[in-house]
Parts: sequence; structure tokens; C-alpha cells
Amino acid sequence: MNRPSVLPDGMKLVGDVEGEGDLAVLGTIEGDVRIDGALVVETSGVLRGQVHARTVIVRGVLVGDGSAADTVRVEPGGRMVGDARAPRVSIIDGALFRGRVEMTADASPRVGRSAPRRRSSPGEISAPSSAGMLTSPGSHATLPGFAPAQHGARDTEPPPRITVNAPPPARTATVELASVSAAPLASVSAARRGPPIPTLPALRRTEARRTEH
Amino acid sequence: MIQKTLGYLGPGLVVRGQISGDGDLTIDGRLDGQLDVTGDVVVGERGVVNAPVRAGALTVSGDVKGDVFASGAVAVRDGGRILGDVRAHRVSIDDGGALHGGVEMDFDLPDELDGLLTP
Repeated sequence: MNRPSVLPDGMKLVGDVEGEGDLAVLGTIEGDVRIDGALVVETSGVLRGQVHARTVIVRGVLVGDGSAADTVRVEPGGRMVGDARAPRVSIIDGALFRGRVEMTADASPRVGRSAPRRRSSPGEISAPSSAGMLTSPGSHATLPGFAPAQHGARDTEPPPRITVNAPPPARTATVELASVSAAPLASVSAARRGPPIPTLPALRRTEARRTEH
Repeated sequence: MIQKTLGYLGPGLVVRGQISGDGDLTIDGRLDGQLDVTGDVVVGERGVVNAPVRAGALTVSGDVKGDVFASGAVAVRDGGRILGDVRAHRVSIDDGGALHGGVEMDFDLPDELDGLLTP
């Protein structure tokens, strides 16, 4: 393709971007981005908004949901708060991430996916348990960023497990999580920081179980 | 001065909103909204800007619809077009360039004419 578009460091864009080609963000964007090429938020870059691109790479800060036709990748030093949705989502060791990870399609064969699984256990879905469902994928997603040194289990944990969460929309879940979490924390988590607080205990529980075996 | 990355809006890219800050920017895509940067702005042949523009300098080979304020020079190149008032230190219009609107440059007149022309 052509020369990629660049929002340089020190420049700020308030509004929406859409169209063709690649975009590198070294400055600040407040608004949504929808392009068919690669979107790279570089280390100095800050992007607040919903983004969609073929590939989304976060080396700086992305606050908002990132969806990609191909890959969402949060690299070391990158910080992302929001849901990542793509056939392939990678959160590289050293990256910081809060949100849900949704691997959408054909990336891995085992992703016969949540829908059939859920149907096979109707008792669980009858209760509005999406909050519970959410915590576990969240904990996996946050794992590399929050506890990189604790154990080398990241590689043995196959991405498809993260996918179990797919259907429920994030919004409702976030609200539920906020109301479920402890009272003093509720106000903090209400500001869209919902996921991490409940996920950490869940994470510890998972680890505890694992060590027992 | 600190070295800046060059800003670039590629062809096929559409921005609706405001771009502001420091640095230079070349636009081959389209901007609808507002442009307010301290550096030099180049609107390329394929560039379309529907926005009031404030910049250090502005070179137009494409299309600008909106008032322009530049602390430096504004140049309309062959094939370039500005629809709007231009206020700048210097303004030039090349052969083949078009400008529809007022032009205001800063300069002094000889003393004896001073005051005659000011409205």
C-alpha cells in the first residue's frame, strides 16, 4: 500500500478517522478509528476510542475496545483497557491489559466455541451468570501482564480457553461485575475498570487449585 | 528545535474532527472539521480539507474550503484551490492556482498613506 498515515507526537486529533491504509499514532487521538490497514499505537501514542483495523498493535496506550479482522496485539510496554476482539489476540509478556479477550473466528480449530458448551449445561445459563463466566476469561487475559514471573504457564495455556466467553456484551457484564464487587471498590470499578478487581481473586483461586493437583 | 515526526494523512483516509498541536502535517486524504497546528501544512494534490485552517505555513496543491490563518506563508500551487479568506504573513498564488476569498497580508504602507486605507 501507500505510505502510512502518521499522527506525530505532539499532535492531537479529536474526532473520527476512517478509510484505507495504515495509521501510526504517535500523538493523541480522542475518537474512533476505523481503517482497513494496520493501526499502530506507538509508545508515545495515546488513543481513546473504539478502533477497528485489519491489525491493531498497541505499544502505547489504548483505552477503548479494539477489534481487528486479523490480529490484536498488545506489546511489552503497551497498555490497553478495553475488549480485544479478533481471530488472533496476543498479549505479549510485559504488556498491560484490562478487559475481555474475544478470539472471534477460525484462528484455532478447537474454537468450536462457547455456544455449544453452554447449551450442554443449561442449569448454568439459566441464572444470569455471565458475570461469573466473564471473570475466568478476564483472569486469563490479565495473567501475562499482572503475574508474568509467577509461573511459566502462559505458553501452556491455550488461547482457546480465553474464548469461552464470547457472546455476552461487555456492557452488561461490566455493570454486573461492578455491583457484585465489594462495596468500597464499586465506585472505582464503575468507571469501566470493572474487570480487574474481581478477576484477581479468581486468578488466585485458579492457581491454588492448580498447585493442589 | 526538537525533531518531530512528520504527520501524514494518506489518500483514502478520512478524518472528521479536529487536529491540533505541534508539528508538520501533509494531507493527501480528507479532513472535515478543524485544523490548528503550529507547523507547516501541505495539502497534496489529492488532499481535501473542509476546515478552517490555522498553521505556521500552508502549501496547497489540493482543495481547501475554509478560512486560512497562517503566521508564515500561504502558497497556492498549480492545481491548488482555496475557498475562503486567507490571512497570512505572505500569500502567493501560482499560475494555475485558484483562490476565492479575501487575502490579508501584514505589511506597512508608506507613512503618507498610513491611515488613508484603514477602514
